[in-house]
Amino acid sequence: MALVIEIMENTDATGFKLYDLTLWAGGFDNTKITDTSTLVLEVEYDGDTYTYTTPTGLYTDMGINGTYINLCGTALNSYFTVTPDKLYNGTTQLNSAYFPDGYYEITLYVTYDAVAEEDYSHQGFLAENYMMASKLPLTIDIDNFDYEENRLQFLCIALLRAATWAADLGRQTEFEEITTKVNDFLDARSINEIWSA
Amino acid sequence: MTWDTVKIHDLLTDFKTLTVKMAWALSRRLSLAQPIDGYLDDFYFMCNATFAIEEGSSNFEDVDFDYLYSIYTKMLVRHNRYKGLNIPAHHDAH
Repeated sequence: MALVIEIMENTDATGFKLYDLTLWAGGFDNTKITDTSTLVLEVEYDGDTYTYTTPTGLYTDMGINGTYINLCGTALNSYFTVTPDKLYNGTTQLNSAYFPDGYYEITLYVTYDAVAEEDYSHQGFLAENYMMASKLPLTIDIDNFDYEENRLQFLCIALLRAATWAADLGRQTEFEEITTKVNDFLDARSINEIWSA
Repeated sequence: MTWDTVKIHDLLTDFKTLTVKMAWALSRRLSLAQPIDGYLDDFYFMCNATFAIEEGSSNFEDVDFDYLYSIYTKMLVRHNRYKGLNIPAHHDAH
């Protein structure tokens, strides 16, 4: 058995959904997590590691009980929503309201049936960039059509999609170069940040 | 060829990898003010095909995956041919 997680950022960047896709041998049994403090979520962003930290702890916040069929709930597509205000590096909160666009590595740890399990996921969180790019294409002057500008605007949207895949593949360098290009492009067209401004 | 879930996953990874390399090369070329004409159609095709495999692989049959694989190999050859043009070697390590 191997722990398998999936992450999906909310389109408004206020959180991400954590899914548990693990094939739990014999079915998930929450009593096999004898030490609930072994369930740990870490988020690496911009060179720092943030840990899910609340007074009650991750196990309790996820509501894990005997009815659960995986770590996240009673259905295969159950998920747990993680918000940035619960993630701390020491006393520093990742963010109070939204996940800044960028490259993230998210790791879940748990000791289940006396075996330490972990899985991690590379993610490109680009909700704000996608929102900004959705303003494209800008108004087109059909009488003075600028073909070069038009194709660059469509290219920008395609580059964003490629950046997401770069993060999926763990290719952080390419992710950062491509998103820098996209941001330069949006800035040059006065498409401003929406929630991080 | 029979395309099982493992092979389809590998194909999707290949498509993503090549698309990312093309995007990276395109952004480099734009930064260097070099022409991108030779890349654009291939890049758009790869984006669309990757998205289609990722979001709807159940819509494809083995013969479709055979076709996509043959296209992928052609795109890979063309990318390797393009990327050598005009870009100094130290700019294109991938």
